[in-house]
Amino acid sequence: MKAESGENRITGRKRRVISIGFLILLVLIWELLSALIARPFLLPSPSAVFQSLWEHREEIFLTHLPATFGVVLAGGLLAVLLGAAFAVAMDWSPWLMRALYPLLTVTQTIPVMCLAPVLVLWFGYTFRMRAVVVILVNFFTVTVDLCDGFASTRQERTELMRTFGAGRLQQFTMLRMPTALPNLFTALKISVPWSVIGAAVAEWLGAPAGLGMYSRSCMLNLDAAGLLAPLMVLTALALGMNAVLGLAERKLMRWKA
Amino acid sequence: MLTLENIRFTYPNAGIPIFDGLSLQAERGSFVSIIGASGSGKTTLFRLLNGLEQPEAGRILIDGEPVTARKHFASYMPQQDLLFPWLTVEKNVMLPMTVQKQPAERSADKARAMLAQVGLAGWEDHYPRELSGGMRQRVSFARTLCAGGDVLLLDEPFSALDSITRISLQEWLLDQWRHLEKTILFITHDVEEAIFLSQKVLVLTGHPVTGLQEFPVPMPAERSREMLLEPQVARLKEDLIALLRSEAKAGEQYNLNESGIR
Repeated sequence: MKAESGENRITGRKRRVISIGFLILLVLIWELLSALIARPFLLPSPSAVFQSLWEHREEIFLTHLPATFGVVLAGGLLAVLLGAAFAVAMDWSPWLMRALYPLLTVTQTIPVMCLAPVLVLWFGYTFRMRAVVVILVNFFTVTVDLCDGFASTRQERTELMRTFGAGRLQQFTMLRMPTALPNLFTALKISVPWSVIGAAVAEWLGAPAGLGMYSRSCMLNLDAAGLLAPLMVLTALALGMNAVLGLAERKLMRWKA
Repeated sequence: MLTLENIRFTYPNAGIPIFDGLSLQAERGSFVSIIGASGSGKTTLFRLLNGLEQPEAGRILIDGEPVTARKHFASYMPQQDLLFPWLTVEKNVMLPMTVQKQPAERSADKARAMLAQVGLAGWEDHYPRELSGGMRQRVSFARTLCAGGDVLLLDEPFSALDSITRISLQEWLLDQWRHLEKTILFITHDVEEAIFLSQKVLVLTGHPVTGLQEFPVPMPAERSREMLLEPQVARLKEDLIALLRSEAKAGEQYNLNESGIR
């Protein structure tokens, strides 16, 4: 086992070099292609995108990024809290599980992005509306991932706890919760990019500030480089948040490494 | 003294009881092995003893008192170690005491003492994945000791280990038992293991199990593996194997008839 994971680490490093190299190659091809086409409103070059980002750095990083980050953070945290609360309740009561699980599956088939205009009707172009979009996008993933995590508890471990005299609450806090911890992190890591996308789409519909709104206003001005610049910031935001999650995961689950 | 009197037990939806009128006695501080063909109810017997199942009829007594009046009279050691991977070795051993809300500091002291007892001093802060299978079973044994019962229920604890580790752990367990003054009930399907470890071997027979056949082991408490070769011990081993084989055959016939009825 240990020798195997060591080998994996080496190939993992190799793979990273390969993927970064490939990324650089793609950017170079993109740059070359846009120079050949020579129509910046159709295909802006990567350097033009970076230039646009640099020119509008103050607006982007001091006004729009904080606005989007606020929506992502508030919506994301509420989604996790709400999703976890549902998962815990459903794990506790088989009756609730049977009642809610199919319902949740059905709600997931509704594309939340298309519901966003309805949310605009209800909440207006407010922070609350954008946070609700982020909540709706993520809530289901968190609930289902955690439910599955709780359910993956081995029956033999539960019975062992019972022979020690553990009641349901102790079984839950000392056994089921730690068992589901890896699933929580999986859910969080999936939630981060979806929160960013959800927030950007909600802003796209109309918002006083935010990277999505900025991107859209650039589109209306046929400024393709300006449209792409905030999208790069959104990507970086998602990657950064997932990196922080990865650190927390490694710290909390040292037993797994 | 642990006594089972006329136990009857049926699994839900099974129709026919698995035990009917089963009685058993184990003297305080004795080492008793229980063997039987697969599906003969060895594990069910332990589930009744550790309170995971309740008998329909009959009584389980310890020193003449019904066990329902006493908490944690028996400590169960499962076949797989079932250590919690997210807890350190020490925290794993503390688990039963943590569940029983004993003071943390005293529990930690006791866990460390138990780990020293099973020869794992210095491993307290390691995680289970860092231990070998044999070491993990010793941690599991230490955890069982911390559950506080006078009766230890060991459910095929060595069956998943390689044969060399198993032999050294058998000798190790005998040594532990001599120092511990605990009653040990030991389930196994390995006849030689049963003979080597115990003072008497009980064989579950019949469908449903109505009684146990009892075989005293003709070896002193201080014993070595060479004694397994003595004629009367070898004789006992052959007798037990013959009995188990005929039981297994009867079990097949019984299952065939059962499936024919349905």
